[in-house]
Amino acid sequence: MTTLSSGLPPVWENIGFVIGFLLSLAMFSYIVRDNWLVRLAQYLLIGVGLGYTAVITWQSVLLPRLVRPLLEPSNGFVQAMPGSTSTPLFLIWIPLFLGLLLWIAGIDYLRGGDSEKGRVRQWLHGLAVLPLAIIAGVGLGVGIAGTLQGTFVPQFLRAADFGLQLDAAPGVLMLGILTLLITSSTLLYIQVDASEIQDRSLPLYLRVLVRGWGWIGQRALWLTAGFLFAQIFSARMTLLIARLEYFLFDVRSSNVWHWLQAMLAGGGQ
Amino acid sequence: MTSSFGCPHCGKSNPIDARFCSYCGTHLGDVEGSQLAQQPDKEEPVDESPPEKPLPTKRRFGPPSYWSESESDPADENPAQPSTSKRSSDLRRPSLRPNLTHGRPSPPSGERPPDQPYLPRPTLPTPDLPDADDPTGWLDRFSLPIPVESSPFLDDDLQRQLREFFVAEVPLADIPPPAGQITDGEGLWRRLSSYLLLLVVLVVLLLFRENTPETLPHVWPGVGPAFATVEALPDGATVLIHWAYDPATAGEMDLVARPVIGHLLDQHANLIVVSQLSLGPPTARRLIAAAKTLTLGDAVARQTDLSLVDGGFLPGGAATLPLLGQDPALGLPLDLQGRPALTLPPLASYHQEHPALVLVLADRMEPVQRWLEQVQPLNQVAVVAVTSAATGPAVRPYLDSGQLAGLVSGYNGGIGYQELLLRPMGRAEQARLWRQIAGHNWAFVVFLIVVLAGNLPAALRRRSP
Repeated sequence: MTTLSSGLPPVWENIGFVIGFLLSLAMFSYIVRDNWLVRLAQYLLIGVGLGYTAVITWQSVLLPRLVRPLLEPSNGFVQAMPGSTSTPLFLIWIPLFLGLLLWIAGIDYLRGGDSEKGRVRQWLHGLAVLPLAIIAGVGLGVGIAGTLQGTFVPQFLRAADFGLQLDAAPGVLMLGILTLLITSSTLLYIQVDASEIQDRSLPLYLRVLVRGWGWIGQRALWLTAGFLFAQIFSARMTLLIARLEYFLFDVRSSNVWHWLQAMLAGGGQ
Repeated sequence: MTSSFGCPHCGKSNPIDARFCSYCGTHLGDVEGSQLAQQPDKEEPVDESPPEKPLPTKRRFGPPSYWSESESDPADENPAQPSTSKRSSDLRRPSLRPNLTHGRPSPPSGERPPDQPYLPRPTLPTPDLPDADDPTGWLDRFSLPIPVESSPFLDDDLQRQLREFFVAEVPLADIPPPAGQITDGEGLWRRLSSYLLLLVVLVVLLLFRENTPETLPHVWPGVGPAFATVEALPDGATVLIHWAYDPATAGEMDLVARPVIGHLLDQHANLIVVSQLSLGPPTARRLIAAAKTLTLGDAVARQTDLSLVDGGFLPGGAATLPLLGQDPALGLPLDLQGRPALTLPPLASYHQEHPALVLVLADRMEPVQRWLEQVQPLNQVAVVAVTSAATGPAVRPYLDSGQLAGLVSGYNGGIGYQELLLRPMGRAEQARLWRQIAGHNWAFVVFLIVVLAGNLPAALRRRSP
């Protein structure tokens, strides 16, 4: 079994393989030049992805969680959620109202509706701010709380715990010194402007010290950027090699290739 | 020589050889960027106005680099001179066409949209403006017919600066470089470098089918702890998998994730897959099916379908993730087949107690970060991250702080994990891994050669007077 196997009936697998092969070739034509085949493949990818998202959103989110409870309120869907103290009002009706409000306002806006014209439009556009505010507010609150509890505090505690242990082994001590030096120099390079370093009112030794310290931070940034770029290059090369393997080897293990071989062999007899 | 030019529709910069705009998709075939860069502007017939009418001077747009070398600075020009052909052609350069309508229909020629910013001007004879359908007519509408000698409001420089300010995007690399200096893309021969890289990788893939690389790639810290965490799982443990990559990056992520999934299947773990990407669940089904067959064989794989629960698509981003930490039934009331979650044994046990392990498969940093920020503080379940090579450095601080129990990153991480499994690989699987290693090694060799070849001449030129 190869990564091409999808559990679909063989005829759909073969059709999917042919379509995937042709679209891969279309995308690779970008190597020669930008052309309509590349655009076609890109638009197909985006369109199919959006269409699939719409279908899956309806099938697995809206239909079971919103539409069915509305149509059959006695199916115990809401009550079946253990530990839930929310009523259908908060789980169904308010989200439905806010969602429809946002949807209608969005369509009106896309059609070029001007809130200057008509009191109904003004009210609509004004009320549509409410679901947007809820989305933005919830997202912001969740994000800030999560950043504090999941990133800032644990990372700060880890850095504080690591510290500079003067009685540690030489390797650990050197690591601590380097960490302190590179971190401080990078912060200095980012914060202090070059013109400020050239300020003649500062003593010469201070200018030299700050300039040298910032020089280390600049090189540290270059090194970090280079390392990150190398990792990104590695990731993209893995993708390229996998795609080339698809053309060179996986194609030959497909049913379509076997059919072609059988046809050519049978035609030659 | 410019390496980019602006789209005539949206004004965004595009590479010189682009056939389609990268932002709006407009076909740029009629506007040959290479022609703009290489050929001088053609002479165009000038519509001479009658001598008794004062002929307005059309302003140039953009910095002086847009003008041909033979043209003089506008400040030195005699404003009483009629419009030259080169000036008209300058106005037709696509990079000089601002898109200030933003999708609204263009007003008829001669009229100025009421909300368009414009400079106050004295009453002057209206010039003959081109048709509104003419793509270059936009520019002429902004050619304020203000004679220089009678402009009481703004001088040339300030007018030019104001027009540049209102252009949608200032094109990059506009100023022609000094003679002898390497311009963007020329010295490195980007296209040749890409062809060379592709050719080398193709040759390596075709030649290294049977040969085995001498050394394995370097494995970064985190793979060993990840292996140990999975190895320590009890038989039949529930593992929640947050699937955060789709087929776009499956070429790399499958290599990294398959050994880990195979290890979980060896441990007879019950897998619950949930994804916040719409294409995540089908990607998960495909990979888990492939890993099952490789691990268990076809016959046994068909019998173990109940051990996999497809939790499906969970929309909402970071706002809905905490549901999985507080009460999973709230986040996964139904699986992808519409079956109530509590009727499925793996999810029923998940409701009573938290999973033994969480596996986050992500090609970006955000899904891992979100999980560690939103879910792990709630249920304190160990998390193992399987990520792309590009994501590894950004996620590593979480491994150092102890928030991640293990980290498998990049194709080398997948190979390192595979080595720890001590499971014999099939011939085809082994050949696939060796091709990846060989292709990577040679790709980096080419990359280093290109970097050196590009930087050495630049370093030598810098030293020369």
